[in-house]
Amino acid sequence: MFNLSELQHEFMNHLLDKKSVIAKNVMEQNGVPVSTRLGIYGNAYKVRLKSSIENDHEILGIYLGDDLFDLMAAGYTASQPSQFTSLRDFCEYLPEYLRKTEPFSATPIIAEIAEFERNLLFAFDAGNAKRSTIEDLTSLPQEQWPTMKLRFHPSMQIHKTHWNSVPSWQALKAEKIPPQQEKLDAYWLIWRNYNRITEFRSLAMDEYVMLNGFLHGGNFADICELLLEYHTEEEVAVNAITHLTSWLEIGIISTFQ
Amino acid sequence: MNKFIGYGLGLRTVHYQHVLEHRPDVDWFEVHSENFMVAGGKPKYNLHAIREHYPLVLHGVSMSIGSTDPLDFDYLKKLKTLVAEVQPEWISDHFCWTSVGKVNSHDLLPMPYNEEAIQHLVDRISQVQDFMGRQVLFENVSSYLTYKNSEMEEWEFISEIVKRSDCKILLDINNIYVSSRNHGYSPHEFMKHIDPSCVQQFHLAGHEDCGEYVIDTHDHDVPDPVWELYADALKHFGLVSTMIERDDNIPEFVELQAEMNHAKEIAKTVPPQAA
Repeated sequence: MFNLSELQHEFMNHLLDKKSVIAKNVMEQNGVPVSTRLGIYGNAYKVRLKSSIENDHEILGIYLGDDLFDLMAAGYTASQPSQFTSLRDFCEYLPEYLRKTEPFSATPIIAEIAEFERNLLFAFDAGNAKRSTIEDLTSLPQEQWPTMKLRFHPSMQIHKTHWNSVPSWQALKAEKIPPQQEKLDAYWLIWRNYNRITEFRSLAMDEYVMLNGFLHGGNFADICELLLEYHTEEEVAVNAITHLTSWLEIGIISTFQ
Repeated sequence: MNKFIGYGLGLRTVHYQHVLEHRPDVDWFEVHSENFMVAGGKPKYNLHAIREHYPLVLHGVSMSIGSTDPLDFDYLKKLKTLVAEVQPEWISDHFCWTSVGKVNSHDLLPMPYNEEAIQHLVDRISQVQDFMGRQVLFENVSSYLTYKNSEMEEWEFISEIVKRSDCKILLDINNIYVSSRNHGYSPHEFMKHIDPSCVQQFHLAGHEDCGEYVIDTHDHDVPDPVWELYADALKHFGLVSTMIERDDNIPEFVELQAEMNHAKEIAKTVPPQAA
C-alpha cells in the first residue's frame, strides 16, 4: 500500500499520462469502474488547462482554428505541466513552445501573436504606480534636464515583432480576415491607461530608440545624442519633447529622476 | 458561537459592473484569493471598490494543504498580503491536495482518510494558522474515488482534523451530495457526525448528474436534492453564513441573487431553537 507521498506522485503521474499504478489503490464502488473514476480526474485536468489557454489566448485560438488549437493545447499541456499556483500564469511558456514546436514553428507569426497576448495580459494586471503630468515636467529646473532619467509605469512594455502579427491580431479582433503572413519589423508600445484599459500603438524608430534609451538608464542628454541619427541637431530637442509630452499624456511616465 | 454574516454570492468578473452600479442587496461576497494575487490594475481596483461597500471572505484553491511537497510560503505570503489589504471576515481553502513534485493539477484532489493523512494535515494546518495569525476554514471537496488505504469515513477524517488543529469547516452542501452519490453513503450520515460549532460557512452549488456518478461542475443552478439537503443541514447546524457558488455558465446577477434569496427563505423555516 502507498504512503501519502507515493500516492500523490502516482496520482499526478496518472494526470500527466505517465506510467502510474494509482489504479491499484482505488476501490471499486457502486459498479462504477476504477478507470471511469480516475478518468474523471484525468479529463478534468486537461479540460481545465485547455480552458485556461482559451481564456488567455482568444485571438490566437481564432487564428489557429479548432483543430490546430486542440493540437497546441494538448501538446503544450503535455510538455509544460503547470508549476504555477494561478492558472493566470499557465501559458507563460506558450510563445516559446510555439516558436520551437512543429507545425507551429513553421509559421512564426503564431508565436508572435501568443507573445503579444501575453504582454497585453501583463499590462492588464501589472502593478499600480503614480503617473507624472506635464506640470511635473515643466516644473523641473532647466539645469536638471540633461541628467533627467525616467521611471516608467509598471504596465509599460515595448513589444518587438518581425512579422505582421499585430495587424493580424487586430483584424481578427475586429472579426475580419487577417492578412497573409509577411515580414514586418516593428516596435509596439503597450500600456494600461488612466482608466485601467490596456492599449497599444506602433512606435516610430526614433521614439523606440528614445524609450529604449531611457529604459536602459540613459539620461536626457544621452537620449538626445542617440536621436541625432534620426533628426538634425536643431530638431532633436523638439522631437524629444514631443515624445515626452505624448508619454505624459497617456500616463506611462511614473517619475522623473 | 460562529459569526453569522448572512447570505452571500461568489463574486465573478462579469458581475463587477452590476455590483458597483446597483449595489445589490447581498450581505457579503466571496472572492477567489488567487484572482487577486496580482500586482495591480483592474482586478485590484474592482476588488477594493466592492470592498468599500461589502464584507468579503477569501476563498482559495491553491494552498495544497494536503500535499507532501513543502508548504508554499510564497503563496502564503501573498495570501497574507491580500488579507491585510481587504480585511476579510475569514479565509478558506480545501481539505485536499492540488500539487506535488512542484506540478500543480489545478484540481482539488482527494486525501486518503487515514491516520498518516490526518497527522500530515493537522501539522500543516497548524503551521498555516500560525503563519496567518488566524483560524482558517477548510472545505470538504467533491470526490470521485476512494483509496484502498482509507481507514475511516470522510466525516470522521474531517472531524478528527478539526479537533486536533482547531481549524473551522466550510461545509459545501453540494459536495456532500456529490460525494454521497459517488461513494454510496448517506449525506445525512455525513452531516450528523459534524460538530455544528465547527461549521463557519455553507456553500451551495449545482452539479452535473451523469446517472451512475455525479460531477461537481458549479455550472448549474442549485438542484432540488441540494436544496433539500440544505434544509436538513439548517436543522442540524442552525443558521450558518451561506453563499451560492457558481464558477461556469454564469447567469445574470439577478438569477444568482434569486437563488441566494431562496436560501434565505428556506432558512426562515428553521425552528428558532435550531437557529
